[in-house]
Amino acid sequence: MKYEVNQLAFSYGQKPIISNLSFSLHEGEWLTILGPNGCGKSTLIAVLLRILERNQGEIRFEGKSLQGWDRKALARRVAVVYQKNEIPFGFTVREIIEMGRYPYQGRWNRWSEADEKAVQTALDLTHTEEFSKKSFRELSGGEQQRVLIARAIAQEPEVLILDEPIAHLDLRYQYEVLRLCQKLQKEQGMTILSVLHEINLAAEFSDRLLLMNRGTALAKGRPSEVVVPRLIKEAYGINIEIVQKNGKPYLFPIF
Amino acid sequence: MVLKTKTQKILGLMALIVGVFILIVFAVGFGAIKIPWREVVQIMADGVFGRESIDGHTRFIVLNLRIPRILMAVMVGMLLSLVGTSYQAVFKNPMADPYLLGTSSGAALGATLALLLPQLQVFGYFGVTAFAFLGAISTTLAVYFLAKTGNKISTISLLLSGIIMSSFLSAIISLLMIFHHEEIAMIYNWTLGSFNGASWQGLKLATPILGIGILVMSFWAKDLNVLLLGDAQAYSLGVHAQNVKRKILILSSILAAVAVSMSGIIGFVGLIVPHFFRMIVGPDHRYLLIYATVGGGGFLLLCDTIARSILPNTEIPVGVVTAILGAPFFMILLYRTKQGRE
Repeated sequence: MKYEVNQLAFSYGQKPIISNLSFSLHEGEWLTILGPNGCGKSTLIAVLLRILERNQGEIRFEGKSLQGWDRKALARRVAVVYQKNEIPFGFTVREIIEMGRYPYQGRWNRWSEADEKAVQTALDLTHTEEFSKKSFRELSGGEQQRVLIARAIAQEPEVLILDEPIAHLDLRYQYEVLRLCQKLQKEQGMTILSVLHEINLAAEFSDRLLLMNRGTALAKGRPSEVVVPRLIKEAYGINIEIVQKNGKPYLFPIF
Repeated sequence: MVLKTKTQKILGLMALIVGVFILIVFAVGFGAIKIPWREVVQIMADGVFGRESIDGHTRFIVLNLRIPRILMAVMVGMLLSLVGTSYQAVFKNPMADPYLLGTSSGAALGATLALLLPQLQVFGYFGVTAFAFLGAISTTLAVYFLAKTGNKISTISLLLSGIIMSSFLSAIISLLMIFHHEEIAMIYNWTLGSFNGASWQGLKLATPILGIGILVMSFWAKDLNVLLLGDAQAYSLGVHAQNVKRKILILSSILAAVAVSMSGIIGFVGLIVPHFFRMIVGPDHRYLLIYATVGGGGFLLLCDTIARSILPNTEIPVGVVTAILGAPFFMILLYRTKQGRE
């Protein structure tokens, strides 16, 4: 079991964002969190990464309380890719990917063979070698996203968290990024936790879905169990119709 | 990036250090009384080995007048560039600079108060630096929180907050000048920056602080790189972004305060120098920090040498020279930022 979240609650001051949320992330699976804007998805990711500290409830990572994890030790197991990442100054692609090795390095020690190997693997898997010497800022949105994923791969994580990784990409790059993650899941055995807005894509790529609404879990289960008219209506307030293709549900809104 | 490989970067750094040293020797020889560089080297070597082989008058000028001033220019330049480099990483903004953010004005006000108020004079030279630090850190924090919206600090709000704070603090300094006629020349010198007050005493206080500053900042070099990926990403790589940023801002404010209490307000050094060396060695702080620090020393010494030699028998405040060189540079940088190239 990677993450076990039990009765989690989080609030900003008096304003509750997450309440009574429980779920778990199994080893090797792809779990996608869905839900309307403001339902607490991004806050949940921040809590799981210990950017924010939970108020109540329990979070365990690999059986050990998340609070008890050393930050660098956790960083060797969990990596994250965000929707967009503006990086000031002209860092080259390679320099950015190399920063993925930060949790493995001491203050002064030299670049090791293991570091080099991890960076090379990341470059190969994401096909970013060709522009590795270029400045990150010169790349297109889709290329930048590949570099950020490469940086996460260089971290050699067991869990890859994706917080709306495709929100600003066009259709081709959306698929490219998700296929790459699928490859990491199937071939490298990575566990994937993603936040997505595109319900059809979520259903296509994920093993399980967690539908959130108002800070808590509305439904958990296989895509065909979660993407149903009743639940979608409750979360998003719109009527849908479902079409099955290759055993996966695809939804169409009805107005 | 001009220097690409590690070897080039290390050789480049050595060349830079040698260059600054040569500049020091020539700057010592420069002035109303010209002293040939061979004699300067001789006197320096004598100083190190405790000998006296050159006649007393020249030796006095070199050791008691020129060298303290020149070392102070180098040291202040190093401090300001180090602060500028670290501010730019913490604020994720190439425009961050102790002068533009008002840190220097805050330090100057603190130091002015310590100089003017008789109750504070019991602390002596240390008191001036301590009050400069209080002024520097409170101004930096005020600007930081004024400029911050959510998790982001935009260039415009950062500069606006800095300008507002500096004008406010400068106004208070001006008020103090009106109330303390006798010290008006001294305070005025402060606000424009000058190395006239250079002394071995000031150098003795500043040297260890600069040394510690360079060491500790280099200790955080990789963290500074990771911080540029954004706070959330930094956390996920094992860096406690808020803690590290807080520590770096406190250390930077101490360094800025030391610089200001030695020389007053000197602008643009922390802006120009890191930017220049980012073009030479790239943005990786493992190299950039040390390059900018050494180069900043050389740059400010160059400006000071211009300031005291360009007009016969008149010395221009060094802050005027850096501003005349820095303001056009700042405009270019702002223009490029607007176009999204920075």
